[in-house]
Amino acid sequence: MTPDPPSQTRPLTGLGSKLGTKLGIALPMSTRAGPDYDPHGALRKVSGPTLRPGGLELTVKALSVCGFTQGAKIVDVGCGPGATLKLLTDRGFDAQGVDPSPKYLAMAKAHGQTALGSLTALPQPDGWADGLFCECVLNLAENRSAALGEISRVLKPFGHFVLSDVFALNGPDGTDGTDVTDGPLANIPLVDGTCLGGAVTLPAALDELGQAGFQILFCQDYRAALNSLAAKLVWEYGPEGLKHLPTPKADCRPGAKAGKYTYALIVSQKNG
Amino acid sequence: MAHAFTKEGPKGWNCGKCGEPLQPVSVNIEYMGSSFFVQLPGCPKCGTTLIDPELAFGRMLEVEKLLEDK
Repeated sequence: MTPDPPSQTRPLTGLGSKLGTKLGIALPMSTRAGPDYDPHGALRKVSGPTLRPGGLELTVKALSVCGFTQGAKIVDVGCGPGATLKLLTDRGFDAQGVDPSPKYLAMAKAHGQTALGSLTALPQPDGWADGLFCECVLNLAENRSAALGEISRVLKPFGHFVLSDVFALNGPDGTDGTDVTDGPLANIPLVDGTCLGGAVTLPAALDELGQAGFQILFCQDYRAALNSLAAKLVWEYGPEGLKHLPTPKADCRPGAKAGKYTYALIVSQKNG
Repeated sequence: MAHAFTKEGPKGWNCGKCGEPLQPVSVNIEYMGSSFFVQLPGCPKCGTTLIDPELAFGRMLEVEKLLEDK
């Protein structure tokens, strides 16, 4: 064996074919989110405190799109241990983290203001927020429409809604959900090509945002982030590692138990 | 061809080039557009990393299969 150059970063190459990067895994169900929702220790070990693909990179990208001014009021729904809340607070925003889990709130408290609440019962008054972050959380909602309505209620007119989540690549009818090059979604600014159980297709998500009164400003695919997290889960825990991804609604959507997924960041703005 | 690593007793491996005992190092594994850091035994001097057959045909293969959508 010939020693490699003295580098600790090197590519893993070649034992298999180049068929694609889509995930195609049947995922077991997990428990529903609720007041006793426990931090996912196994997931946190590989994802870090954000508990989602991509870490804070997507959060920073969203902030650059939104262009909030200092002191802007921002809600982080499903704040978890408070990684995004810390980032927002450190950047001088009036940020509030909301989560249904007292355990998570106790952890997030060290990073900023927190409040008990959920996607469909936010504690903020009407029109309070300049922005609202919902990172890898909306798929956990039992009623997406109600959640989007509640988010709209809390946002000011023209307030920014940052959504990042897992999206299904295949619709329930087997169609490719990523094809947004035709039809009414053709004008959505989709950059760079474009929690699993509750995932809808990206076109469906863009459509539901439009129906909820949001104008899409930005949409970008981060499939590599999801694949990297899934790969590391398998690396750490073997083929069963994917069970550590939260999938509380795996039984609730046709075709959602097994499928192909991507991860995307969508920034939208509430209509005036 | 000289081996990069030599087995030196039950304690583990030494680097064949430098003679240094291997230590856990953080390695960025990249495959098909995805990457993540793992801890692997490596030479603290030249950075050469040991991936034994059990790892290559075990966890590493599982990860490759996942990313290749097999």
